[in-house]
Amino acid sequence: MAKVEKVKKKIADIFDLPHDTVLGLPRVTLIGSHQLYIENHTGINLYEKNQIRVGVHKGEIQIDGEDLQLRTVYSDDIFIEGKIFNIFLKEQV
Amino acid sequence: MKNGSMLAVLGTVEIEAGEISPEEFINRAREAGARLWNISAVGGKVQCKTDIFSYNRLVAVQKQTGCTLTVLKKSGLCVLARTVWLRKLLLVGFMGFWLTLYFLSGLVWHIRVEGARTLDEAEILEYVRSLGLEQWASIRDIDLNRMERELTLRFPEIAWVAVERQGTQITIRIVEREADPLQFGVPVDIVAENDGIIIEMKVIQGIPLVEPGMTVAKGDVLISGFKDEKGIVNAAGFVRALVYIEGYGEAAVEERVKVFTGNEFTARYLTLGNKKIALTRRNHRFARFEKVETRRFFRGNPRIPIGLLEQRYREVELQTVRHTPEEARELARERAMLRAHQQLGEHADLLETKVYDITADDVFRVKVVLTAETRIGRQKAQAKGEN
Repeated sequence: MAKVEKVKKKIADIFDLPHDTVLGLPRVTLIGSHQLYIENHTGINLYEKNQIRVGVHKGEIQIDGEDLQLRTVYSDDIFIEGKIFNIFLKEQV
Repeated sequence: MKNGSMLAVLGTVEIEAGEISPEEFINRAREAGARLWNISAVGGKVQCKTDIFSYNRLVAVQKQTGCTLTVLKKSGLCVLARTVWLRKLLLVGFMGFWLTLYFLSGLVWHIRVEGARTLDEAEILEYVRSLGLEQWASIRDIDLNRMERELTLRFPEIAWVAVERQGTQITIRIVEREADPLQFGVPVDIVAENDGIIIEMKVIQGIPLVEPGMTVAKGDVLISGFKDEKGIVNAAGFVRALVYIEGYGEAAVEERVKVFTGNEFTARYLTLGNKKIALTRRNHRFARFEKVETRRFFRGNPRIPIGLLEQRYREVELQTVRHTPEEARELARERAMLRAHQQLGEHADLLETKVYDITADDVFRVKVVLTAETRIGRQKAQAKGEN
């Protein structure tokens, strides 16, 4: 972890601030198994019907499913709909 | 869609991007600040929707990447406004339609006269035309209050008039004066209102046919009016007499009285001529009730066979009230007294009250006889040909 990030994390801990806001970490909200909402993403790495990979801070979120569709793509958040089977968080080494 | 909802209402563009991978197009669009939704990747092409402001940013992405960008569909307020702007004749027609409607709604389309019995409707319409109220006249220029005043002055037969506007229709509602017998050329007599013994009379004009001390029956002529070569002389004066007024009342020890429970039900029907179509699904379930019917006609015109019929049912209950014999006798007396006093005129001087108990069975019966001095004369027009 870079020095700047360590300081940010410490500040967030001391002041009890949400880490996603201070450190730019992704916030993932799953509604049932059909809707997924990801905030603080960095872009789409793969867009297929069975798999969507979304870039996040220092990693990637992989969503496996069926009939997956990007309902909305805004600069900070993504809304995915479809039958979701698995969600993986892959951290960059 | 956050604040994108409003932008989408203003204008939405459905596009298709080709010769670029879906991921690259989406990421480039995101970096450019464009909002995309309903994104689908079909055969190496991306189809999505965007708002009209984001579309300009996607054009910039197209220039950067060299991809193709095809507009499939446009919708929204801005698009509609542009379409309308390009079709100026349609715009002119639309505005012309509303202006025409506004203009026509300011004109008198129809004038109705209601309540004229002896007055001639055509004469009234002719008169109001001379005041500026006619078909196709401008409603805004018509002073309805002035119209009412002028009509009352012009037609003395009118007791009350209202000139009302309902949309493009003007209704003149008239109530005519009750016919005065003097206007029919018939003299007026003063006749006895009750049986009695004359005690005092003053004749102002007319021929006295009775004198103090005489007994008269109800309807007898007391002072007669007449007609001579100078004209009609109506009877005038007053006659005081001693009258005997009877009142009867009865009460039982056990009485059944009708009491409203407070439960109500209103049934509504649409009437088409003689046919009734129920607008209320269920009916009332009252064992005993009182019914009041109200009928309303379409536009208040009974000649139009369309209307509304309202039947209001009020539930009643029969209650048994028990009295002691003393209470029942007193109640019968009060009822008899009330009926007798109701017959007394306002100028009556009560001289004596006699109460007779005429009970013959289990119902208490009371008769009250009031002796009073009162005016018994009232005006009555003679039948034609009497004099």
